[in-house]
Amino acid sequence: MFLTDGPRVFVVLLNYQSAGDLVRCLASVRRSQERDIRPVIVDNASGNGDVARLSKELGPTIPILESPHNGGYAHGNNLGIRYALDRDVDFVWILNPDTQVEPDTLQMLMTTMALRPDAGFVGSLNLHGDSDPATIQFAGGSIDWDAGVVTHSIGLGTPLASYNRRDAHDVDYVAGTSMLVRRKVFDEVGFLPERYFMYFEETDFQVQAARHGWKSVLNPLAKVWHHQSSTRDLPAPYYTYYYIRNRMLFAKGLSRLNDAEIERGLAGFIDGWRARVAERAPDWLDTHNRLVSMALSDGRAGVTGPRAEVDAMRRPAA
Amino acid sequence: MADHEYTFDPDAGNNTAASVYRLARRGGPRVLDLGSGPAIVSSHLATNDSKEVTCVDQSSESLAAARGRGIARTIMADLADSDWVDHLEERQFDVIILADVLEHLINPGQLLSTIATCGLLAPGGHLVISIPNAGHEAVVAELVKGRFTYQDTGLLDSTHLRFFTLDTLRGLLEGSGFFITQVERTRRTAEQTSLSAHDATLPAELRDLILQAAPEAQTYQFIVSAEPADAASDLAEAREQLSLLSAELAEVKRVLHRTQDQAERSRLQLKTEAKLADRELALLRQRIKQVEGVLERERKRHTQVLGSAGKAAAKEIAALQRKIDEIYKSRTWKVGRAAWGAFHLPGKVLSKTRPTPSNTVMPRVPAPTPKETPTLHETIDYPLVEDNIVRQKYERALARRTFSGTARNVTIAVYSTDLTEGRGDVYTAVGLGRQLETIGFEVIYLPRDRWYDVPSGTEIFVAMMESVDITQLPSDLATVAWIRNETEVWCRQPWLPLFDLALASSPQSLEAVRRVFAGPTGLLPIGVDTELFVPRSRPDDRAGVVTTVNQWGRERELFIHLKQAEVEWPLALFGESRGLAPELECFSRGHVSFFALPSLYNQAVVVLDDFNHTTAPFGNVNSRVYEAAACGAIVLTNRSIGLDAVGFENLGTFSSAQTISELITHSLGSADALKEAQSQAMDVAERHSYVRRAAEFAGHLQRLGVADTVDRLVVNFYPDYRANPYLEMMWSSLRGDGSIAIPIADDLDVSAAVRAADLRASIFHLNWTAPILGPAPDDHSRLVRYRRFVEGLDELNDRGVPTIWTLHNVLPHECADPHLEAQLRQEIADRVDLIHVMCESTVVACSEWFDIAETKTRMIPHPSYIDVYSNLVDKETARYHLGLQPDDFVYLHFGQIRPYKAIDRLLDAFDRVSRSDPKVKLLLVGKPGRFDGVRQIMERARANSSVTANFNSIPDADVQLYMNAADVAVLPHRQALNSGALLLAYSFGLPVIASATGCMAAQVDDLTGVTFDWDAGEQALLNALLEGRQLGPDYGKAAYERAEAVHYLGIGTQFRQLVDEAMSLRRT
Repeated sequence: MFLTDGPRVFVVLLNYQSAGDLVRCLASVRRSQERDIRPVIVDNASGNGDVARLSKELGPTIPILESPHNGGYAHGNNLGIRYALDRDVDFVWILNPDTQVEPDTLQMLMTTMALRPDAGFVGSLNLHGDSDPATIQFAGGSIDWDAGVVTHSIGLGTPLASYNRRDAHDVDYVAGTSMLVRRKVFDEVGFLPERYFMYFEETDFQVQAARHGWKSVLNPLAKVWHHQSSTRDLPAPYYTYYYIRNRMLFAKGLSRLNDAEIERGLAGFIDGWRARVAERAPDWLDTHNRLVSMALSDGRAGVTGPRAEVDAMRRPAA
Repeated sequence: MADHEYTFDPDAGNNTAASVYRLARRGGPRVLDLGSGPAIVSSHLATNDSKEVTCVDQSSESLAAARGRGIARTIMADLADSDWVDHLEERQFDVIILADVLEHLINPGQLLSTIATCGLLAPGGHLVISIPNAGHEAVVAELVKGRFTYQDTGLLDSTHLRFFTLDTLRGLLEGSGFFITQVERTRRTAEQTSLSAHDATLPAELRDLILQAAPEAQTYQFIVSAEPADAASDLAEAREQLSLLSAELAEVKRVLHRTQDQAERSRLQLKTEAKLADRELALLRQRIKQVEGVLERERKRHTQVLGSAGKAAAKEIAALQRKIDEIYKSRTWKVGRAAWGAFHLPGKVLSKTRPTPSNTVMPRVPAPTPKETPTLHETIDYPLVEDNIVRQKYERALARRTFSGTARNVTIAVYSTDLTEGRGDVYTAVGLGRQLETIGFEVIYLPRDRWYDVPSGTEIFVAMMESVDITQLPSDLATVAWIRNETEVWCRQPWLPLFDLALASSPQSLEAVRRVFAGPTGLLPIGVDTELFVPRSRPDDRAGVVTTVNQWGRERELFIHLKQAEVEWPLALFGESRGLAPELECFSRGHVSFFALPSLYNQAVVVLDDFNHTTAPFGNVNSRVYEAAACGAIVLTNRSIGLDAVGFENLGTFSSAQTISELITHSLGSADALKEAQSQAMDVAERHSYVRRAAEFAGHLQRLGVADTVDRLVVNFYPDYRANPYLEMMWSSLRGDGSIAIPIADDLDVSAAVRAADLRASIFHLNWTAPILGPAPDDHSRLVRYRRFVEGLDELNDRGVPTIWTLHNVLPHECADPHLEAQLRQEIADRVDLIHVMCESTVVACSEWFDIAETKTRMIPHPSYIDVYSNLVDKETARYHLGLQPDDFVYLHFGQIRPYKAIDRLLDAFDRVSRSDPKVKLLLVGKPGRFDGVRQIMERARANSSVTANFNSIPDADVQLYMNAADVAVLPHRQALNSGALLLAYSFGLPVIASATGCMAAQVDDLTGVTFDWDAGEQALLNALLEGRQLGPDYGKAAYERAEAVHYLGIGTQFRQLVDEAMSLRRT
């Protein structure tokens, strides 16, 4: 709108028991060269005193929205997005709290938005948070619609030094870890789909938006360090379950493949992890197999949302 | 000269005094007004712009009048004597004004030399000179009629001793060591001059001829800015060269005529001489290239040396060169040249431009050698053929001056009607216009210097340029804006809402327009002239990649990609190539005429297009896309936005060096792609021909005067303070429902509101009243403005337009005539439907000056600024940026420096607080107003090391730095009804120290800060400052809660209800 000069940006930070990460992330955002940013924090019912801690550390002027329950990534972010849309926002920056940004990250994302009016989403180059030398975690995503709707993270594990792209370029999707979204996308397409609970929300949303003509663009000059605890040797239960089930939901929702074709596409993923569990935590293999079957049968049946028993399970000890 | 008393509006266009004022305002503070008269203009500089003005005049009455206007230094002297210099107190000035002076002197050069030799201009200073144009058509008419009758005033004022045209003025100045850096003009037709009583007009035909031959014939006065010319000799050299080139052009033209005749006679003989001709031609081309090399080098050298004057000269050289080139390239020339045989013009060109020691044809400078490219590529020659038949049709269309009266009359305002200028809008206009002529319209095209001379009989006026100010047009025209680029600039023009119909070339532009334009709108993309652009070649005849994208300095995306790409295919870049990357220079082929484009687009496989920075965000598809596609070429461009709306969604779009290379390689290698493009050509012609566009245009015209089908409320507001976020906060809820806000374009005229009210539901929202009377220079014009505004309100009332007045203050903070201001406010209060106040005490506070009926009064508090300004930076970072220490105690005053804010008293009290404690700091932030004592305040602040002052306006994103660096905000207002600064402080969780005046008395309490009684003297403020140091973090929290309670979203909803109430009052 016309309230102030230039575009208005809100950064939405979704917290779930990660107040320490979030404070560190916000500190990096505060060092941005681009100062025209309005932060809004959403707490996904952490229930561990995070809200009190955040409001004490951040002061009264940073809004913290409290969700009554943990409704997942899309649900929490949508609360923040709605808050921003009510306040004449032009761009929403969805940023994971377990990240740190560079001083020019937002400026780079905004530049691409300015140069590419057809871009609905601009994503950053995500680096493994504690890697030295820096290695890439995500440099854009591609979707293979024929081979069972396989999503693929470009650049995963590549040393930054050997990654040569500098131009902002179209990709099939950018990661929800850090993505700048144009307001018009929400006006036209709606909000992040909430049926997944975890994984594939932003991919699904971007595929829908692409069907309205909105491009997803990756700007490799916008860097984000992602301190994700994904370097563990063994898959967390929630990862195994939600990844398998939601990839099925995603493929069923957006492609014409049948269940058998979709599951054939998943075979590599399932077999790979199963072999690793068998090798490193044989005691836990039964549990892992149970999770996989539950995910497959829920995927076939179209079960959506959170699964309490999965969320209650602990990670296997390596 | 006669001591005319007159007034002027500093912002007026076409007004000599206003031009002088604007040019003089630009420089430093020391102004010398020579021949000042009563200092009408320079007194504005003194009072409005705080300039130190010295006036020199020979009339004591004039100087007395000047002193009455506030000029402190006046010197009585005759400028014809040179001893006036000795009377000056100061020896140097930043600006010296010579307004209508030089023509009254016997020896004006002597005065200029005095200025130069005495060094009266300070470094960086400039002269501002106004002078009547002796070449005006009225003077020409006098001469033609054998007269030269002096008059009391005007062009032939009986006291004029000397007469100047722009050229002779330039000569005079350059002879005295100055060169002209800028020229403004006031224009009048002969009828508008004082000679008109004397029958100053000529027969229409003769007059047309004069106007064509003498473009300045309707310039009444020149107003120029001039600077000392260190490089005057270089300039003279450049001029010399220019005149040589002009002579050469004339000679070339003569030769051309002769060769044309000869060509006719020699046509048969030519066939046998074809071989000879070819060789001659090749030689000619080579020589032209050599001359170009020399010229280019010269041009660069002069441009560097001469700055802006040099650039203008270089431009002229370039234009001449282009004309010469065109002639060289033309068919007639080439053919004729071959027949002429013995004539060696290029040698002459060379010897004239740079005399060579020997009479050899070898150039002194080798022609620029193409840069070696790493990859070898084939070079393709694209022989260009101009379609002169269609060109003549365009010329004939542009030549029309009068309507025959048998059709609907359309006038189209374009940048230029000169086809050689190569501006795109004229081709678009004529493309459309020629087809309009086939369906019952007649069209006249106006170039920019005749925009406001609307031909009589015009019914529909189409503006192709955003700078057409339609408030200057007769009001009985139907006005149409056709927006094809620069959408944002169009939308910012205050007069856009006054158009009767707005057409835009893309849906995205249309959407932007609809946010500010309430009337009927329509989509009208650019089209293609299918008499020119048709597929004429077979796929086998095509080769290579071309573009006609012009680069005027800002590097185009296309060229950024191309220079990074490995060019492995034949590439030719036509068009303006200013600032082209050196890597690409070897591909550059120079200009191509619009009428040669069809032949080019029929020879290339691929035509590259590029949305520029104004068209890309709005998807305004370029004419090149239509034209190249209609010729059957493969078009590639850099954006997909907007393409689908016009059926080009299948065009290849590139976004990098890599993608452009891939697309080109694919296009060149794929016979199918070319075949597909060829087969699409007829379809493009069918869908996008101007035949079709003309019909669409005629369809849109039927919507003129028809209300928009969307039921939207229009908020007409006054004054046009769009930059103030207050207004947008109040309208936030209305905006959410699709309402639009339109400022009243003129500073007083509410007719825009009236016009909008005719079309749809509308309300009038009046805010600050200071601009109603404020700009008036005297009592009389104050009264005139007063009456006009009240009459406007009456007219709105008669039309049934609901009116709301937001009362910001009891009286404007600074006003010349408080009683008249109060009387005006009384009239407004009596007329409006509802009065919006921001606190309960307003009615009482105003009663001293005027009465407002409590029944009309509605209270909605001032909104806070939460979510308006970003609030990200924490205290530590903010202090780091401002150079403050973490353990400092920081008072903040944020907002314009105005007399009622009592900054002087704040500085007094702060001096006492900070004397004993170096850790106490004051942030003084805001733009200073113009009032007595403002300099002292600024100097005091700068001299005090405990004060951090910033007297600039603060970018929105930086407001947080000051707010978050401070511990407490101070608002020591002597008097004020409402304070945005208070709510701003609260919005950042900042407690306040405020005087208990107006609404602030109730807004500040024990929980959010400290108040004090201003009338209790300095000690009260001092005590409050000391007390303010004790406010703990709870105060900030309470302050923020107050701000949350008046968040703009809630306040906007309340205002919306107020609007609904005003509307319902009118309905019942």
